[in-house]
Amino acid sequence: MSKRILIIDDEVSFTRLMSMNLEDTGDFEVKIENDPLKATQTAKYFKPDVVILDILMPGKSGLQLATEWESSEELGAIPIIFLTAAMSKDQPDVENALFIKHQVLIKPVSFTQLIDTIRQVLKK
Amino acid sequence: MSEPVPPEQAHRRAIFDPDEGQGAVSHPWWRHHVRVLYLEDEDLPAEVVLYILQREEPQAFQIQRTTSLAATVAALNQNAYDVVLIDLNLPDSEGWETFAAVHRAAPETAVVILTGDPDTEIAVRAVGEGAQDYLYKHELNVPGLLTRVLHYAVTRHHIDQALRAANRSLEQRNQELQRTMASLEQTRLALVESEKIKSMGQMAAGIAHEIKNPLAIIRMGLDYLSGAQPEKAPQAIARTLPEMVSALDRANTILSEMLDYAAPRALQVEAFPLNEVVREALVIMGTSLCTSGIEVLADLDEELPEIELDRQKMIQVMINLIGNASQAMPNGGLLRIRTRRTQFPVDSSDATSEGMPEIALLEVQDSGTGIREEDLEHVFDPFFTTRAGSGGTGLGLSVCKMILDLHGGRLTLQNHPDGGSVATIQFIL
Repeated sequence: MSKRILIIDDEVSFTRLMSMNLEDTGDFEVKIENDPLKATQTAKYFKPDVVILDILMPGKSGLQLATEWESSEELGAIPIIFLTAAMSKDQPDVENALFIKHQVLIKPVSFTQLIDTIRQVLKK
Repeated sequence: MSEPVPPEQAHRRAIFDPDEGQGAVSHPWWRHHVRVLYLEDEDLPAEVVLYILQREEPQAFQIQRTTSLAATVAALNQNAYDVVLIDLNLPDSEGWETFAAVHRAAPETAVVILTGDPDTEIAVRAVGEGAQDYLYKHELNVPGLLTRVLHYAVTRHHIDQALRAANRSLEQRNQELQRTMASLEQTRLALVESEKIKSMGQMAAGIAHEIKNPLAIIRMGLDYLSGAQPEKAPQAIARTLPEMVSALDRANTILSEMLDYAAPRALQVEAFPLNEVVREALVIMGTSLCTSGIEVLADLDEELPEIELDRQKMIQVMINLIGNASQAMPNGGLLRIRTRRTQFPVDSSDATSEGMPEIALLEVQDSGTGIREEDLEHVFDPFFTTRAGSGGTGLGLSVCKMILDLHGGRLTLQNHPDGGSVATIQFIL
């Protein structure tokens, strides 16, 4: 049974290409949400096994979304892979508890690295 | 405590008891009198001096006489005096040495030289080195001269002392001020350096973010292509290439705008009509506005004089403002562009127009949703954008403002009371 992946990122082209790559593996059912303000609703409806979440988005940041989900019964247990161009490993934000709890990937990321991380997260 | 001694007796005792009463005469009611240490080895001139002082101001002076340099130095070490009256030629010291030794022993005490030598060289030199005055012995018979010289010497000396003290205090405060200024300068330099590093950090983070996003698109596209089966390659290319090219263009635009922002900031100005800038920008943006369903209403004041401006850079500004207005109306709308001549300041209702400079005003107004209040103060910050992910680099308005600043003009952006936002350019005529 294929795993469901929800991609939340306002970069339309990027999400489309990532989705194409993921779907080509035949292992995943992928849903894209480019509007962070609709992301919670989409997550509740789609019930993803893993969420790939951008951080810097207009209207609501990925960190705000993840913080809201922490206390949600429905969404609190979903593993998150933060995928962002807004930070580097040297930045103090990496000390944030949410970043420690979940996975963080820095753009540009290779598809191999992305798929390895997704499989690793799903195994847990 | 000994009984007070009348001044005359005291004078006599001091005069006729040389070198034995070093500090003996210090009666309380004489405290306000001038305390004189008188160095004279010969009795006759000493008698004359005493006589003159006694005759002219019997209550004014408290005198102690010494007859040698050694005794004088000893007295100065032991007691405080207001003035030392000295003869320069003594059994144990001659000329300049006498003054130097006395001055060294009591640098805080006024010195008056009483000399019988017609050569004034030493006396004049001594005045240069700190003595208050000098007198010739043959002048002693001038009425009031000796007492006046002594009084003035003491007064001048007090003033000198006060001036020196004030000077020392000023010098000290000056040094403190210098130290404070040096410390402030160090702090300022540290702050400048820290701000520079901070702004470089912010700038670098902004550039990194804006470049990494298109790079991520290209990377994802290339990974898709490299994983595609050979027979499906044409379709794969068709699905990914346009977006990769677009990402490349976007990265290039960001870098070009960065270069604009950091480019040498010289303008090539010429007298040019502002209305013409508007028209040229509208020609360039015309198709885009038309396809976006945006109606343009241009209300241009044809009486507006030519303005000293860099034509290309101002067209760049107009294209940017029109582009922003267009993006604020994704479902179409009305773009109003207006030029007019008005009085400065535009936004102050209570200002009287008299004496105020005239300005040329250019407004670009959209009918979009306006700008969020919390975003208004950041719209000119480099890399600030409300269109992240949809082509906004956050540099356009920063570059526009920089160009207007270089022209000595002004660019502001605010929400319009009727809805939408309005960008306003002002040039002083």
